Amino acid sequence: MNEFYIALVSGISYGAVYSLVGLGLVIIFRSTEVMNFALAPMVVFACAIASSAIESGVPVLLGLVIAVMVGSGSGVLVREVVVRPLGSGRLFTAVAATLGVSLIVEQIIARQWGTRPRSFPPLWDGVVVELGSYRVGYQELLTVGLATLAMVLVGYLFARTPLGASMRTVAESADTAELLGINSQRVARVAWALGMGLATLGGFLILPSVGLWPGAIGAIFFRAMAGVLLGGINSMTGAVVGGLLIGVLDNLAAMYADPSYRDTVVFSILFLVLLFRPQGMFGHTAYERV
Amino acid sequence: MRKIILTVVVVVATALTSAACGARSSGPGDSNEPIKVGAWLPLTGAAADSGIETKTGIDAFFKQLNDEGGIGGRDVEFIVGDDAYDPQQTLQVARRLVQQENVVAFLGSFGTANAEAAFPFVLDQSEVPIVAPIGGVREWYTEDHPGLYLMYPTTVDAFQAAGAWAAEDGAKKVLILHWDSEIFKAAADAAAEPLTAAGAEVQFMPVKIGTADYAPIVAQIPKYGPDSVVVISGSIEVATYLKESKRQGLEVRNYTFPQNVSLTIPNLAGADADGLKGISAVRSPLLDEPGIVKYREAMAKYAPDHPIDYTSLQAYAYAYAFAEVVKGIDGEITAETINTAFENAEGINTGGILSPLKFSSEDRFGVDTVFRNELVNGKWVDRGEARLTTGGGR
Repeated sequence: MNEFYIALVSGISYGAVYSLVGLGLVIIFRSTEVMNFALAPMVVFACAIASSAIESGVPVLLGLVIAVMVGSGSGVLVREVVVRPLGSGRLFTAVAATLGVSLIVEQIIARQWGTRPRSFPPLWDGVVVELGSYRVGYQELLTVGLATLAMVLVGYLFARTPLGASMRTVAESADTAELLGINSQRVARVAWALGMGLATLGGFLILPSVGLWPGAIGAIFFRAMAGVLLGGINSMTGAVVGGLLIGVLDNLAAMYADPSYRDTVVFSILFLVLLFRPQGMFGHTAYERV
Repeated sequence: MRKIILTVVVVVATALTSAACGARSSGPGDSNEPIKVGAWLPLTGAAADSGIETKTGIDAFFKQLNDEGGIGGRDVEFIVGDDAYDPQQTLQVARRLVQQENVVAFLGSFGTANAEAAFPFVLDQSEVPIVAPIGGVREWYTEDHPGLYLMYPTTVDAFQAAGAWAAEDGAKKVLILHWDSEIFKAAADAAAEPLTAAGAEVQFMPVKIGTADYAPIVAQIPKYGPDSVVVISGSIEVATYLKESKRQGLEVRNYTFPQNVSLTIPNLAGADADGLKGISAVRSPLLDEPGIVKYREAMAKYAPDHPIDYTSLQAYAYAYAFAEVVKGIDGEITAETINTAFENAEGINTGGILSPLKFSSEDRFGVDTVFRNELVNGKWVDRGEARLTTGGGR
């Protein structure tokens, strides 16, 4: 069994995290057309605050709530203080601004919590089931379970609620949304809060594996971004499916191709998909009337 | 008008003369100014952890030394430039430290590629010595690099020592799990040398640098049927590998190298890391050798927020050895006299942190001994020392 199922189970667990981070990126991008390159250190910052709270005696579950709140709050702060003043349609300026925020936040983390990787507590330690010699932990099941729950709730929010309808309208056209009386600035704030909250949840779930340090989420962000491109940069379904596919493909490539070529294999597949569907698997091409 | 021109000429001439005198008075050999020693270190980025602890160890030593009277009554000023572990930035940092800060030597600088980027400017053009760079390949001492003095066992030599330890432990089938770059492939080959010489069967498994999920890699290891694994990667990845090995019930002996003999692995992997064996460049920071006791005192006084650890002890030892050599200089302390002093340095004692060092113009690799450590209950335990069969021990 073993090899294939180990690669699959672990791939799904990591893929669920890529999906959450990717979903966060897409929600922010759809609402404000900004790719948040400060997402990774902002997630680490939120989790570092939670880590300090946990070390001072706060239960881990409450630590998760704190992390998500700080992540969401920092998202709104960056959107209002850094991105909003730039105005709309300034894609490259916004990218540069978020890169700047990324450097600043990394420095804050390094100064406050140090650069030495620290252990980060799992939500639930222990082994739930043994598959041959492989032991699946509660943390892995929780990662997949919580990620699924979060994605279902986001799907419900977008499909069934007035706020979701507003967010979809703004994603189609902020100008049209304004004409319809939708406050697009409010929607943008919600999108940044929601997107950063989801990404922080993903970070909180993966940090027990990779440790807490300023660059801890860098590799996760890189693969989540690959998942977003694979699934479609403007598709939430695409971000979820893309993230899962990247997680599983990455592990299968390490298992059956060569561990040193796992990125090469994954990105070759990504390249092939984009060659035939530049908008990604679930993305759509936007046409503008001229 | 003539008066004005004359006044301007006099003022400019006076200013230029003062500037020239000022420049001379702050020159590297001046007996009143501090002795300036530089380093390029990654204080930000992925390797910042090692860079900051290296800076901490050297800073602690020089502060302690300055409080005790410095070198010949002169303080030592340690000036660090952050290169973020990027060789392109290393050269800029080196230029600034040589041309603007007038450093007389580089000490404990970090990274193999980073040092190689700086060699042409620092060693060849400026003739400023580079002492105890951390990293390295065998070519650093087999090729002629005047001004380069090595105290850190190169990655290749350290892994050869790890391979020799595994061979002594009776390893028969060994898997070498290594990062896939050229430097680490060379380290894997070096680790294999003593093992194959002892009749062990050795196989190799390259992994991508930056691998986050070790599940599929560990799942393949039983296919090789090893009794021992030599792990050649960074400490975060070694910790991830060890945790995953535990989850998958893999039972092998694991060996690694100096950069991983620190608090990071036991912090991240906890009890899953117990049994890991690591070669270090210095003796355990918990021993009671006089130099190690002095190191702990320095850390308590000058860096109380930093942990007692191998990385800062190693840096402290390199500064200790540097100061011992420079103390022997009779006259001006310049890059040139430091070079001469190192070419004739023998029996350099660091209070037992390192084995005594010895340099000459023909042999710039001063270290001939490394140290063995094993993780027991989350703590590195001293397991004695081993002579290098290459480098200074060749």
